[in-house]
Amino acid sequence: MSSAIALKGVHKQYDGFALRDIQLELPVGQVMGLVGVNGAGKSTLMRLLMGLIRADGGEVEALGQPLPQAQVAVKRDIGYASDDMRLYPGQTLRWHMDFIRRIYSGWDERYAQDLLTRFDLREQQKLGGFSHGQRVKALLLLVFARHPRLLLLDEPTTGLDPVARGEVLEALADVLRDEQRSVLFSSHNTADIEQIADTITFIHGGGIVASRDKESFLDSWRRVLCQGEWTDGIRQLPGVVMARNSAPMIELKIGAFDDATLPALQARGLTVKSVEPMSLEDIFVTTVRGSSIP
Amino acid sequence: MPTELLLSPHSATPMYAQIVEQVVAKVMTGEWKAGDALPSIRELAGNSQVSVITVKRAYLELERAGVIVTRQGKGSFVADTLDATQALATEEFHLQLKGLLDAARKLALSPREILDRVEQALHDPPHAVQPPTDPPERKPK
Amino acid sequence: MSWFASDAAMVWKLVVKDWQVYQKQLAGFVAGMLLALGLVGMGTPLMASAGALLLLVQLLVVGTYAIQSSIMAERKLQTVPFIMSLPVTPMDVYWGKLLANLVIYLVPFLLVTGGLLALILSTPRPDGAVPWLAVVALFMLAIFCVSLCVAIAVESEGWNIFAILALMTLIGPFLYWVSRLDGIVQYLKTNDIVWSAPVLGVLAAEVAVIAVAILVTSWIHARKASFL
Repeated sequence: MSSAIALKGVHKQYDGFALRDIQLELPVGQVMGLVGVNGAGKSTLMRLLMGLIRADGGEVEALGQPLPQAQVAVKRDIGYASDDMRLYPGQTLRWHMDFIRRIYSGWDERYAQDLLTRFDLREQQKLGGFSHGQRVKALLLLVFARHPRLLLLDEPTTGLDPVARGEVLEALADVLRDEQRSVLFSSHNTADIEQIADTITFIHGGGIVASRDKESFLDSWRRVLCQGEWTDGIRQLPGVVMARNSAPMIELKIGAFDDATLPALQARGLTVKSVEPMSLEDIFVTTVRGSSIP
Repeated sequence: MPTELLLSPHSATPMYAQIVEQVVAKVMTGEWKAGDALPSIRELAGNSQVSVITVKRAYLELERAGVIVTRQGKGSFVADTLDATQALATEEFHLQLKGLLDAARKLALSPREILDRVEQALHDPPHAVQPPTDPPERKPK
Repeated sequence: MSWFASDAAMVWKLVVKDWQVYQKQLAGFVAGMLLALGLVGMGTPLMASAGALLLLVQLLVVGTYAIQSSIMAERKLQTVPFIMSLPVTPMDVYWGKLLANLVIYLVPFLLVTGGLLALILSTPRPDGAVPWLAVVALFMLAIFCVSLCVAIAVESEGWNIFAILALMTLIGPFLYWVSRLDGIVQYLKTNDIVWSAPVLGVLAAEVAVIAVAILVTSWIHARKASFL
């Protein structure tokens, strides 16, 4: 089995929202970061992969098995955590750990204890008394300590303080050491994805806008400052997603930057002043706001 | 072999370039000697909390520059000393060349003009390049 | 889609889970019931009636509370996604909920019924009330089962509460009707335990109601291939 997840021609219709023609693949051993605004379809995608939702059409596979038919077998090997998940407030963290331990054979008690320390959680404390950040960390502990082969994490660091975020990223880094384990996670903290993802998938309005390896994706985006006369044709230049003018400076955000780009700008009579790479956050916002999508 | 590099996600330098720089620094200072095994890509990625693909890219760059050699199935090793120094010098040259070309672009020089100026610099004696004229120092009264 | 659970062990674990979550409240109710039973056994007819009424109310409350906490509150608490993420099918969760609630209810139910039965048989009270007890007890069980099935099948909290209350209002009229039923009323004051035809008929009807409720709800659930 070479794919951890595979979606072919998947579509799903809801009231007022539709996931359309999704084609996505994640090879085993890779980390994929899912970027998109709220309501773009990230959570729906994950629920399809857990077999919690049945697609209207197309094929959904996780760990080589079809969903939702094989959901039980598949869920044994998947660790799923989403921000709408809650645990039982009247029960302790230890109770939850024991509950999970009895269900999954992969439970690693020693690692769980290690995570308790790293995440600064008390196992005898009732979940009702946990803060938001502690609750998220508790959910993640229950997932990580089972060593699942595939992790589906919906916003694992959202709402966490910077220290907690760092701890979660460290735990994720533990996972990527193992070439048999794969991760799909969505995050508004694009810095997380920039740091630890191998592939970036951009989802917008129910469709996949881009899905490429992180290095070449980031390499194809540049912010170029140049000087020259503004013409409306500048916006139409190949790869230009956004252009702003503050005479005499022109700022261009280019999504298909290659060797031909700068000469093309010079051919227009523009003098290139600086070329900078763009952060994933900048790329994300530019793409959503931009008039064209590369 | 210490397997954690000092990487920062907030630096202006791309992550893979930071890895290249730090591995080069380790080789140049003798911290990692010729023939030493580099940490596996996954191990380095996990310890430094960066994605596998970034480490892969860095290793590819290092190999292209001749600083390391990768043997199929065995991993990556620091290249033979002689090769490494040569490789580092080559890397330095490529970096400077890129810098030259970037600067030339900013002046909107054509390829012909760039070559002309390079030829001129080759023919001139080493210190003949004029420094920018400084305003005369004010003498205290 | 199969009617059966995919994994009996998992269903058992879910039942145990609901039991553990509910344990403390159940202990409280059981204590209250023992108290009420004591009242019934005390002797004076006034005490006995008061105790019996208390028992009835407690049974109702226990049943409602069990349904409320294990099903309706779980929806509000949003622990449902957590359960759905476990290696279970919707049918597993369904059987888990059904069985858990039945088990949770059967503890106080059997306590009350058994206690009352013991009281009737062991004391000078007329034993002829045993069939009456059977009919009333099974009626309570039927009401619980129907409420439970409605709660499992219907998402809306409003409708669930409506159903529970509506069923509760049937208790009064039923008690009235059963206490005057030909086949029961003539033996109430005697010491003969008589399983007359009307009694058997009512018992059969109650069992049928329970069976139908469970069958219909199971059928509705079996059609779900995925949770959402």
